[in-house]
Amino acid sequence: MNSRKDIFTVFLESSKQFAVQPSPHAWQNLERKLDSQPKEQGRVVLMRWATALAAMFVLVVGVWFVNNLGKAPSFAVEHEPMPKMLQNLVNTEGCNPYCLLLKERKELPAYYANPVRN
Amino acid sequence: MTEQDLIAACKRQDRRAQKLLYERHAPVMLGVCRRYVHDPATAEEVMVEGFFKVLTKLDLFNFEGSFEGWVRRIMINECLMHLRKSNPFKHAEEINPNIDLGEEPTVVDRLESEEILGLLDELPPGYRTVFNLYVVEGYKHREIAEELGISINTSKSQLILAKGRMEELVKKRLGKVGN
Repeated sequence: MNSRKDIFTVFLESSKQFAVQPSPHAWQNLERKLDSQPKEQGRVVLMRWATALAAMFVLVVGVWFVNNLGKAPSFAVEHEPMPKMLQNLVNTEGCNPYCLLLKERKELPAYYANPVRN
Repeated sequence: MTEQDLIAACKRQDRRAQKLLYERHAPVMLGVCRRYVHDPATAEEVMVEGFFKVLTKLDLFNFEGSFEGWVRRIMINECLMHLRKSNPFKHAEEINPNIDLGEEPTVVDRLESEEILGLLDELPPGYRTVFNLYVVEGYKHREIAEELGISINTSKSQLILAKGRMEELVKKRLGKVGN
């Protein structure tokens, strides 16, 4: 018969109407999944915030580190010559101002442990 | 309730609207899943997973094209994701893909739902997947190859083999010999 179709056409046309009734459990399962959705969403949001905060912390620390990388550490003053003008100045405690400054910054090197007396 | 109203209500997480939308589309979508997934219970699980994505990603539907087409696309993706896990193309047979498929008339004009499933269930998963994607969904071999991570030749081979097997099955199962 010339009117007969090939299997592709027959299958395509027949599949258009193809439907299967799901069991009642299917909707119940879907509903259960939907009910758990806000909790899952909340957890995801929390995780995102935690990740963002951690990333920001790493960024801030990184920027601080890069900015301070080239600078000499504070203990370098140990090797700096004392300004000559200050060398001769003496305060009431017998410690010159440079010495006091280091004391205040708690960076007094060993050789300034005893204040210079003039 | 129009489809647009229903979608809008579902976006507001209205459970009754979600159920209505599910009931409207579930039988056809389970039909889609059943064509790809052999086991009825697994097909239903895949459909539920698909509907979960539909209902939680409704914001992505931009009203371009039909809603049913959008849902169907999600279901097909869900089925393919499920099938990829079992890798049905691991030992896929390849034949000369240039064989002319021909337009040989078959012995029937129409298949009933049970016959569709009966025939599909007799096909190996690889044949069935390519047959569905090519014949029903209208994919090109290039698209099938991309979706399934196989070569274009494998896709063509699977289709030719599927067609041959399908014709054989139609003749055998329906017991009619046409001319």
